[in-house]
Amino acid sequence: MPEPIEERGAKELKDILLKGAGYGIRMIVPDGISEEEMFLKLDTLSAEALSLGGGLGVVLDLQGRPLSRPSILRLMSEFIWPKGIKVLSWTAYDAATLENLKALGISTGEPVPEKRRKKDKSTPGALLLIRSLRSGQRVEHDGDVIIIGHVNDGAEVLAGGSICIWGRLKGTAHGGLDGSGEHTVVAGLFEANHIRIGTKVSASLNSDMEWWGKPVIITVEENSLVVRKLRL
Amino acid sequence: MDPRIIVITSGKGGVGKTTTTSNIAVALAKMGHRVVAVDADIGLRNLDVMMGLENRVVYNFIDVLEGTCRLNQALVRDKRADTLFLLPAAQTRTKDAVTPDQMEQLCDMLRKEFDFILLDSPAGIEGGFKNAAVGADEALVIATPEVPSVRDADRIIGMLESMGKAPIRLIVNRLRSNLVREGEMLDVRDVLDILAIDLIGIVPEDDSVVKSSNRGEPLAFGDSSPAALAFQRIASRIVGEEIPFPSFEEEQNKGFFAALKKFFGLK
Repeated sequence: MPEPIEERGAKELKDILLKGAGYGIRMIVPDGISEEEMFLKLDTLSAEALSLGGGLGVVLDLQGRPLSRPSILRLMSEFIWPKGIKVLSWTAYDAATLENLKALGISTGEPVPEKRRKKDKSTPGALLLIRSLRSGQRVEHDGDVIIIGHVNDGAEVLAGGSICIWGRLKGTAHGGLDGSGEHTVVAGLFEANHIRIGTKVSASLNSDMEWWGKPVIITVEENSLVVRKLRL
Repeated sequence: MDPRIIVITSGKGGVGKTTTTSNIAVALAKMGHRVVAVDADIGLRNLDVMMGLENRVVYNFIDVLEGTCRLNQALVRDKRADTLFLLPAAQTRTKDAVTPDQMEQLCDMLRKEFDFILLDSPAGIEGGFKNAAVGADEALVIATPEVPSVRDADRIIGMLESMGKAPIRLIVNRLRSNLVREGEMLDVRDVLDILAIDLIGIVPEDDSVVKSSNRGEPLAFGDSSPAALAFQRIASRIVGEEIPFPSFEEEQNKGFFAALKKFFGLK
């Protein structure tokens, strides 16, 4: 098991600790407090404290806290989204928590260094791929990605810009890899279990959604992912 | 005819690779082709048992590669079909016992002796699969109509494509038409829609497969069960015959009416 980050400090702590780091803020949530206490403390975390980052990203360090999927979603819906926190990644050393985070399509581990994330803003151009991506195949490109084909279950498309998939999207699509929510994901037929744009993640999507299996356009509006049926 | 080396693979375990290998090997041999079925699943060999040849295994292909024996000493001839041979795997070794270069060398040796070399691949996407696939020209991918199996097959197809294998064709195994009708199992069309490769056969779920595996007598030796007929049709398509795909439901109905006739003593 990897050495827990800030373990000693967290053991002594009963409060949420905000620490400055190269990438922004590290928010250390001590595992010595109960889950309800954690939500209370997060709720009372002052707006000033959170604005210290000035739009910088936050790494949410859960330490050894076991966190179920519903709790993770609660954390997102009650804390991260309402407060507009830009989460770069989540870290934890509880195996089940890590698994739950990954299952929800959430980025885990230490954040990618700023130098790598913030590539030059000159337009990197679009990548046109005329083929389907099969399970296990992955495409990553700094600019926009256009796929004339399907993205099968288990395949991944990661783009610095927007993503347009002509065919069926069953795998993972992450637009705006640099954290920007200005990008769009378009799919000819949407059947993915989750979608990501910038730092926003929607999880647990399923066939009950009215736009499931239809052409969709997905954007970030007012800090939330919005899916609409695509009408041409 | 030019020798053809075909890897039979799936990604997921337990979908019927070994059963398919043994039955296609038998069906091709019955057509008069010289066929060798190679058990490429080192450490977990099963093909010898499926073919009922386990008591006659002396050497294996690792022995051939290591120079312990000659190729024809390791080959086990099936007495039920003159042109059918088995090349067993070692049970006491691991997948790391051979390198891709050695497997290619083995395939080149077999190419000189046989019309069809069928490689029964181990499950997984690691070294064992890569060793089995490296020497093959073409591939048969087995998938059962279940989501995990189809996803694993998709992964394997991507890897086979990147290795330059062609053609890569699909066998849908263990189809249960009653479950398809009830919407509890993927339809063949669903599977083809996802995998987007050519279909070469559909094998229905059939109790006789279990019985034949336990007896060590591949169905293609003469059984007329639905699965046996399906394997024979696949072998015919492999050699290039145009065999239409019968509606599986029709076969079910035929089976039902045949049973009814039998019951009334009509046949």
